[in-house]
Amino acid sequence: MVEEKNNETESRIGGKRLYFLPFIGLAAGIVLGLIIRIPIPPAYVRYLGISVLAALDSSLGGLRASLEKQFNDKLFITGFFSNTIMAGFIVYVGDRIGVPELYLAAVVAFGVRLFRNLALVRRYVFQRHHWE
Amino acid sequence: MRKFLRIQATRRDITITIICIIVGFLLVTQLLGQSAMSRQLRAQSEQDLGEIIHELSMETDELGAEIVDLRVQLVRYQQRAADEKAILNEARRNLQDLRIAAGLEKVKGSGIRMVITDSKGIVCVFDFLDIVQELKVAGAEAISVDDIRVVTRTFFEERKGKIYVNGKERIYSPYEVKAIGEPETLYQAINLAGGCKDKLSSLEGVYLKITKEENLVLSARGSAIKNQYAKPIRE
Repeated sequence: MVEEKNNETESRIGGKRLYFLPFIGLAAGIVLGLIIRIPIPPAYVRYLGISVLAALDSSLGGLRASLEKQFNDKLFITGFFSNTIMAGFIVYVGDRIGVPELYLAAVVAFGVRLFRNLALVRRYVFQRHHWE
Repeated sequence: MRKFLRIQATRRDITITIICIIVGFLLVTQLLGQSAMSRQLRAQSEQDLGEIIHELSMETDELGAEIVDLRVQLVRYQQRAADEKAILNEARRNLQDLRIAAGLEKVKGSGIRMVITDSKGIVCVFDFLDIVQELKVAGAEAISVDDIRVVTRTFFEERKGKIYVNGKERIYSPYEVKAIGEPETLYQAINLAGGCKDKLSSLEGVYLKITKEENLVLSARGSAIKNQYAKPIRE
């Protein structure tokens, strides 16, 4: 069965064809989330939101790094988890200490990076396709 | 394990896949939580609105009851004010009457005027006392002799044939006695047979003229009344 897999689906082999892998991973995560529905207390939905933003920013940053051939997996992993967890935590602390505007600061910080990475990724993709 | 399955999974790709799974999972969880929260909020606000309406209607009732209470109070206070005004007016009238009786006010009214001419100096203190007494009996409200108001503390003296009122003021013939009251009653009191007129006229050299007047003006007592020994008993 494995060999069949090998023959039929070359695109599934990890390595060079990395384009589909992220989407498969994403789909798997979505399905997983729909199956395992973790109820979030409404009070904390805000913090999860900022964590998601940080995760998206990290992911896009990772994509950019890989397009620049500068991807460092250890750096990426640590950065991803660190940002995602700390973003929510820092905004929560901000609410507690009476600085609810910290949420805004986090949004701006991650949002700016996100859009910058997005622009760079677009440029790299454009370069690649332009040359091909 | 990897080589067995002949999937050349680079470390990078595994990382990416895992990360993507996590991101997908987080996204879905967040979306679900967000929509659940907004639904809850909407439901809550309906509930809240219901509560708010209930509270407001209770408040309206309370305020309505308060308005009724306040109106009742207002009527009571107005009533009391009117009563107090009446009491005050009565007190004022009392005061005025007493002041007149005490000779503290300049008064005017109808009454009689007597002019007693005494050429021989026969008229004495007792005659004046009789006159004043008769006038009081006839209901005189204010009396004056030679423009000196006659009140409770007023006294007549005779020193060396001269008549003094209140110790200092000398009165001369012709003596003018004014009295405010019911003119007819006062006139009759003096004129009565055997009364003052007859008594005085019988004296030698004494002539008496009485007239009824409409607008007599009697001046007030000169000095204030001071009590040194008499003290009121407050019960």
